[in-house]
Amino acid sequence: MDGGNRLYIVDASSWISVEGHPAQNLMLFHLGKMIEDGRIISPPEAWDEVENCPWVHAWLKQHRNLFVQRITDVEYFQLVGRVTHQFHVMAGARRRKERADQYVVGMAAYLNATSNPNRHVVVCEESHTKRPNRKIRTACQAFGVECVDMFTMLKKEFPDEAWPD
Amino acid sequence: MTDVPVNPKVLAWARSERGLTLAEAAEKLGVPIDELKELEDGVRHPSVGELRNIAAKYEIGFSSLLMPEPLLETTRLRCQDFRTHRGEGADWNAELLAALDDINVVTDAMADLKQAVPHLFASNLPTISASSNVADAAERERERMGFRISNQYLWDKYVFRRFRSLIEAQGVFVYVLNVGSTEDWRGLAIMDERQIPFIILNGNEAETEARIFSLIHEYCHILLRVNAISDQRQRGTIEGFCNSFAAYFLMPRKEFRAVAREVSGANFKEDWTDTELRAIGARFKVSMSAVAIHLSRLDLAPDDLFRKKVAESRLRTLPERSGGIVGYYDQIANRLGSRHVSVVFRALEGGYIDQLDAYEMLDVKPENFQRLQSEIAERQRAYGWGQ
Repeated sequence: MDGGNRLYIVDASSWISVEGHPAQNLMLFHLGKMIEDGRIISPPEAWDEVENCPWVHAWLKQHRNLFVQRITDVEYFQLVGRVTHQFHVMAGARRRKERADQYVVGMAAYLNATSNPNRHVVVCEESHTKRPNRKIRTACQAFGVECVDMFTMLKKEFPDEAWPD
Repeated sequence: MTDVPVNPKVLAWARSERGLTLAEAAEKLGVPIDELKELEDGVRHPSVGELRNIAAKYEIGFSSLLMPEPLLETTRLRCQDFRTHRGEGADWNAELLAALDDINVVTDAMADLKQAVPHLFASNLPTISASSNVADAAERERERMGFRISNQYLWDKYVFRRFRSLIEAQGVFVYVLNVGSTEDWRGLAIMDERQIPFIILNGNEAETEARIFSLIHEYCHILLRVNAISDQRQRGTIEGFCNSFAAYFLMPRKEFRAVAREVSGANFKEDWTDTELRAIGARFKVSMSAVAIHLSRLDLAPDDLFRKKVAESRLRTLPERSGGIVGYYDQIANRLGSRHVSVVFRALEGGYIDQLDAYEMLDVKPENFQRLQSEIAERQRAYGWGQ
């Protein structure tokens, strides 16, 4: 371990995974607390994607100002550009609609490089299991960023809680 | 505002991705050409605001403009260009290029899904060769599908939807996009190494009969395993073969001769009136032009019948397209087709994708999923073809 705080950068896929989860209420309780403690952030592009899922959006809206973080440093932009280029299919580099994945990975990599000793971990779910060159997880690995899913993150953070299997 | 040291080549690449000239792009951006040229030549770096403006006006991601290098051409969707563009060589305008990228996103997403859930993509499409007898190949394909001529004769409403459903039932994804004119393109067929057949038709094709013909023409490209974009003006072996395939598929020889005989009286005539051509076309759900060409092809009319009819038709005005009010879910179903929507919903129900994936693949918000699902179920009940 690095000795610093573990902070989490949450992708839209993870936010929407909470809806209908067997531990939904417990998850929301802890997520709310982590947001208030400043341990969870998301780039604006991920927030834009969450807007398409009304249930999660309605719950998250109250916390918006606490967890949506916009970085405008040139180095951050350049890092996002590198992720986009290297994982252009994941990023949808030719698409008309912007995706959030490259911002999530770029934000974690940038903050890890600039805000030591905190460790930034990407939180994402992935439904498609194959084609590794397209996945956030693979992009995270390429940029030296740890990646977990939402439920695993919560179990790790709150090991004494009675999480369902 | 902060300047961003982007690679100027990426700015030029983004512009060319959208098929814009420097002047067109400058006009879109509301800046003088010299100013845009300065950015593309790297004389100065753009501000964040300028970059966001470029991203918005070019309709490309902001993050794409931040890439260290342009994407390679090999990362594009590959298809052979069979268009003639009135004989002057085909053109890729901004709208068409952007549509092609959207298609690429859809085909990629489907290919991804196929890897995870192959059974949703089951298809048993035969392969044909451009050197085979086209009439036999087309009629054999009808037979393989179990598509009876009596069905074709009886269909009087929603005819395109019925043909589309027939093709979708073969495992083909059929999309209809309102992009550009039919002078630019009529259809696109993709069947690459990913082994998922896609047909994309130009929704701005006003006549149902022409759209049906395009559908079968592109289906032939799929059977030939030739990725193609076409305007169906006959040129070269492949395009000619696909046109003939569509004609024989829609108007099988035996039945066509019988109907022609019935319409024309006892003997086949030299002069076919518009009324007669229209009557034959109505039976087979094809245009008068397709009937005229097919009559000549089968030696039931002089070779110049089509040319003669085209000359006559130039004197008439084309009918206006009937612009009925189409509901929102109807529009989505028209664009994406039943097969696409069904596969996405089945993948969502099976837990292979999440709501966000489904939203991306359907462009419909999750709260509206149920209504879209009902629309598709209704279509499949009304004119589904064994799906």
